[in-house]
Amino acid sequence: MLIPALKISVEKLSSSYYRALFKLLEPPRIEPKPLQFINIWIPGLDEAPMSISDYNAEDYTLSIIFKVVGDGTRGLRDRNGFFGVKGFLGNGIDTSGYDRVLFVAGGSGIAPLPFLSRKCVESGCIVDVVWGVRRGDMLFNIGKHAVGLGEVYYTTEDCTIGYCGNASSLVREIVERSGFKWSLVIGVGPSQMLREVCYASRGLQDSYVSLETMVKCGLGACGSCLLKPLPKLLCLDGPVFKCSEVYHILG
Amino acid sequence: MANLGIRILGLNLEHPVLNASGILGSEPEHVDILVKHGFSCIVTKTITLEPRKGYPPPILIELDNGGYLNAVGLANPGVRGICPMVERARLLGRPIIVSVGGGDLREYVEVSIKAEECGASGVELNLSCPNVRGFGLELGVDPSMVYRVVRDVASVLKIPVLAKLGFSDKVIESSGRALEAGAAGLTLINTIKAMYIDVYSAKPVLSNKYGGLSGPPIKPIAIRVVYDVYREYRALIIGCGGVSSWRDAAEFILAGARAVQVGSGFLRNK
Repeated sequence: MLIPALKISVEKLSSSYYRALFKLLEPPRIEPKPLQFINIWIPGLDEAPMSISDYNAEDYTLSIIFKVVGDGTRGLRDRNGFFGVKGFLGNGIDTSGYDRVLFVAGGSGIAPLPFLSRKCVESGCIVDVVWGVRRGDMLFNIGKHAVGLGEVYYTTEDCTIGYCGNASSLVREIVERSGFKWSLVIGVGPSQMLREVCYASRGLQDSYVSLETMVKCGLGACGSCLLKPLPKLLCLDGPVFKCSEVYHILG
Repeated sequence: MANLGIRILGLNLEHPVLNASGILGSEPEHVDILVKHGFSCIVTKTITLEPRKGYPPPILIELDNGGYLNAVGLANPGVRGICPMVERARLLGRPIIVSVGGGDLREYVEVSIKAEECGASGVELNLSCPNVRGFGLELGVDPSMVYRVVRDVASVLKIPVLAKLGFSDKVIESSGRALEAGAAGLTLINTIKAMYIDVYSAKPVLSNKYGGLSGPPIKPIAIRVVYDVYREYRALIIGCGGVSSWRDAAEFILAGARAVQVGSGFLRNK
């Protein structure tokens, strides 16, 4: 179903990222889960898969955090008025039963954190965050957009802010320094980073990664999001997978 | 347990439920997924001679009346994609029918020959794609073109040929011409050309503007077509259009179909 959505605002968060807020004009059939995604329709222009960055079930507002990479995302930034939301797509993750969560993000992988931490607060857990980007000017204060965060670490490859290096090497250092204290680990970002996150959390039953691929129909018909050579579709079986399911195709 | 096995097109199928063309079916891994879901025979996505990228998104939307509207634009890997899928189906012990598209007679024949060479169990000629100009719909509504395409393919193939037709005023006549030209059976019906306009933005949603309507809204039309065509020719018919429960399948079989294909119902039941 295509849910009509009115754009309320757009905000520049850093040199690279924008946050857009929409109000859904019809109540969705079911509430989303953290790490589910939507296909957002930019009328007459494109339809693009986007992580649900935050969702408020009381007023049906939904936000996305995105980078401008083409006509579609430029339209998301510059256009006003009505859009369409197809979703909620994919399997997402249920935070209940966990006490401490480690969320490792590379680049735009930070997008789903606010909704994850919101749900975590509801179910009684804390999210520690490691967010790595290439350059310091890409960062923004994630604490402004997400509630209930524990420790927050920033890493930059240009070494201008926070830890000098990438997210997965910091994760390795933290684990070596203070041991493994999480009952759930989630990685979102480039494939190589995900592989390292899975490696760092090996032995933990509940370590997950959110994958990316070309999503077209979003409903399991077209098969564009096949995770070759696995017989799995990202839009139905993912985007979240246990490390053990996908480790061999990462990196 | 009741035996649901059927024998059609020279194949012994465990039960009469196949997937409809267009649901996955363009990669060997798609074949794995379809087999895992239990279809007794796999039907590929429509294959053309050369690979096609298809249309940009949106290519599929779910409608609030329970139907779906799609315009994928015949995205497919071209004939080179056939053998790997056939091979995978063979490893999994399932027959596979290759859906064949074409912009002209020669293309239908060449793709069909390739399907036979790869070891497919049959071909289904897509004579009714509503979304791509020159591929299908214009052919399917012209009974003499249906005759020519089916004749040219059936005369050079040893494996059985199905003709997949869409809804049109001439569907009974086209069905007859397809059978006369050597089709072993008919797949009835394809999606129906339709449109959806978003009233908020005042724009059609699909990038192609038009799409093919499928799912429960077209079932009564498909049932009627199967009933009329069966009554006229007593031919082998595979019913397609809005099958999403055993009752829908039974209804098609009562109307005259020997088997059914499931497309939108596969999406709804995930």
